[in-house]
Amino acid sequence: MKVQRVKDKTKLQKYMIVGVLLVLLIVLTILTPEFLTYNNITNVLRQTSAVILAGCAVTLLMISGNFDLSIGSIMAISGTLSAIFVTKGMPLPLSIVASILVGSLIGLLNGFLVVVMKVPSIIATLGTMYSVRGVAWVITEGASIHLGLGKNFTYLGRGFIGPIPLSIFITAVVFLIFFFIQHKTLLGKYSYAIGGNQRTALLSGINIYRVGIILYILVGTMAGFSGTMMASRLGVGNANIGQGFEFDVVVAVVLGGASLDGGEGSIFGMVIGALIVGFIGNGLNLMGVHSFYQDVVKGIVLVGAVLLDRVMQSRLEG
Amino acid sequence: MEQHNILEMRGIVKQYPGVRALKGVDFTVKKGSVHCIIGENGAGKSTLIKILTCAERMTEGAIFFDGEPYHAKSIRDAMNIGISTVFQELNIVNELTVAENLTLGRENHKLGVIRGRHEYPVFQMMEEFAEDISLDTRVANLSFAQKQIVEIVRSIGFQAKLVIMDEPTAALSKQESLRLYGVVEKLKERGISVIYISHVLDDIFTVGDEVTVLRDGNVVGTKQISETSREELVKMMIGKVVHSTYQGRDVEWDKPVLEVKNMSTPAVQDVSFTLHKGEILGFYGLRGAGKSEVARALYGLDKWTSGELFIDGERAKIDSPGQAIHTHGIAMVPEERLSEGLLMKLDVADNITITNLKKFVKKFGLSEKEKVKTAQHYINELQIRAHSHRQVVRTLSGGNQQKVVIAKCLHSETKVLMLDEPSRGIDVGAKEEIYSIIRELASAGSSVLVFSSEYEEIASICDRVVLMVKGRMATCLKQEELDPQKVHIITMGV
Repeated sequence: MKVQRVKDKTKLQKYMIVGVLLVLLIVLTILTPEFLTYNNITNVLRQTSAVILAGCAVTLLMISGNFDLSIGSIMAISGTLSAIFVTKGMPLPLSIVASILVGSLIGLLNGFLVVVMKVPSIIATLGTMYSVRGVAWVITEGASIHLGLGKNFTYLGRGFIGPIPLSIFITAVVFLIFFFIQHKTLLGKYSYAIGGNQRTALLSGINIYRVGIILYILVGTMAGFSGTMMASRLGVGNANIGQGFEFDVVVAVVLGGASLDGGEGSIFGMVIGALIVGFIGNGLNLMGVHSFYQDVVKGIVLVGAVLLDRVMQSRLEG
Repeated sequence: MEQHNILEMRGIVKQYPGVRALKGVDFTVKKGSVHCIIGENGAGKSTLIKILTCAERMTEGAIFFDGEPYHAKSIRDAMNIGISTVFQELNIVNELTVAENLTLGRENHKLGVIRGRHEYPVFQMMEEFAEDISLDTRVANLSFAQKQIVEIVRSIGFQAKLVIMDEPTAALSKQESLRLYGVVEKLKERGISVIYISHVLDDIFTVGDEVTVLRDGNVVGTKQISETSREELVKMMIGKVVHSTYQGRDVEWDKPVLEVKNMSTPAVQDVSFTLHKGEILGFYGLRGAGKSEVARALYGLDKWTSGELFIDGERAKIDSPGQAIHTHGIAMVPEERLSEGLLMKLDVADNITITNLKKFVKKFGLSEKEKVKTAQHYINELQIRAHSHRQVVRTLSGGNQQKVVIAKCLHSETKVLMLDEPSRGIDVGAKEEIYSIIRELASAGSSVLVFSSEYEEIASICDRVVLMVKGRMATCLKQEELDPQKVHIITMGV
């Protein structure tokens, strides 16, 4: 009997968050006439794509029980570098790849610090968060880089494939890849195993160090990608990009069912979580609520969702 | 109630789901005496102590402490009433000084501000018990034995009338043990009673006044130390010789699978043995004798300081569990199932297949179908009682969890299976099932190492048994040479 209940709990959680999104969409459609328009929806999706891109990798990292605070800073350095490389005459595709690789390298550094040197992940990535953004300020000398970028620079962030914005298309593809990683690869399963019980994973012969480092590299890479895309969308390279962004990602991942202790979470849930946050912000905007209030709401939604989960869990188990 | 008893436990029964751990135990401690409890693993010693310290509730029975009915609800209550316990895991704050630890929770303060250096009576006691431990030393800088003394003195500071010590010499050297005996002696001088739980007969005959022997949740008897002998106690502990369920098997004695020569690690010295194809080799010894450490070394978890290893006649080296499993086909069922063997949040199929997941990687990623098929095969084979392969392992019973861990090891295609305390914490019926699984494995040509501190277990399944004493091999006995009296006398150091 009890077994049945526990099983229901995970399912319920999945359905619940989808339900919340649907209710939110219906309420917003009724309350604001401008909400359900092609332009508005694609606009929200384009904004959320940055969160989802980084969130895909962060979900796996958090499932494995680790944490990364440096995402926003990696976005900043990759974003500014992609602009700088172009102004220095590098071909656009190459500059995008190179700046994403810089993100991967910072991920590798994080992985080395946390997994090999055993620095607690919050501390290690708090360190890289400061240093990396500092470097971004230094190399831009505090200025926005928008001269000499050329017209194509904004294609990645603003381009279209037919009627679909390119950034949404890319995000959907990335989502599918990570969905596949979560369900169908060793990396996905091992993330759950390590987050569920690191000792068991080690004793089961899993190379927990390699998996840990790969996850950090993935996060660095995706944050770098997200950063170049954002720079392209904004049409500038600015060290200010992605300020506080790491928390937006964590909110989405946690709303999607991850726990800070690891072993739980899903890519699908993270996407729904990101959309919920995105649509709430958009709805409040349309209703003319000042943006200051949006942060208040974001905070309440996050803690409220986790509280609700706790309450339901204790009810179902007790 | 007679005033010269500090503690009286009457008719204590503890019923766990499926197991009756205590079956009506009467146990009395005289005021100012040192009362030892001995018994094999699973005899009920720790359950009795857990009831006294409120970690478990008794199902039936009555307890009187110092002439009053005893109604403590938490270990804190018990301390306030006068029962302190020194566990093997010390309850002491490493970052504070000795003085701060001694007064922790009872500091002289005003509105939360600690008043300047104050002379507590307990400080003077500390000096009496151990002159070498300065009050201002940080506890982290003390040896384990010194920390233990600090903890004992602290319990006196709490006005303890009865101190319970759980295998206090298990982690001590000979020299340190002698010192601890002195500490127990001083407690006695102050009229404090002691319950002393130990496997080590030397301890009991040095410090004890009386000894109670437990077996299978019953009291076999209580003796005055002065009126008993080591041989008599061992006899009481093992009881009538159980007929062993050992079934002879054809071991291929001419085919060595694993040869260990003069292996030493920081925890064990000079261990040598050969494991043959189809053999079940047991390692038996008291807790702390180095059994698990042999397993850890063979699994790449502990570094070898010297020695040689041959697998199938070839020289080999094992540096990590991954290497043990994938290169050499050695798998381990760890002692701590919950914390080391299982992924509690995942389902049965995931747990069984995690060690060899690579097998299921197909062109389009992991094949769920193949994985489930394999898991189902093991669920049937080992008769794992789960309502489906999707059941989360946290919700399985202990015996079935253990089967999942074994299935996991089998699935990694092992030549050598190591099981550390394979039947700890599972009920009798499930035990027999686990034994027959182990026997079938060996008959099918695998080699098995069983590390156990239960005599009946090794006697029932092992072809040969290595006896471990204090990190060394005492001897290696064949099945037909096994005799409970002999084995206990060797391992308990009579």
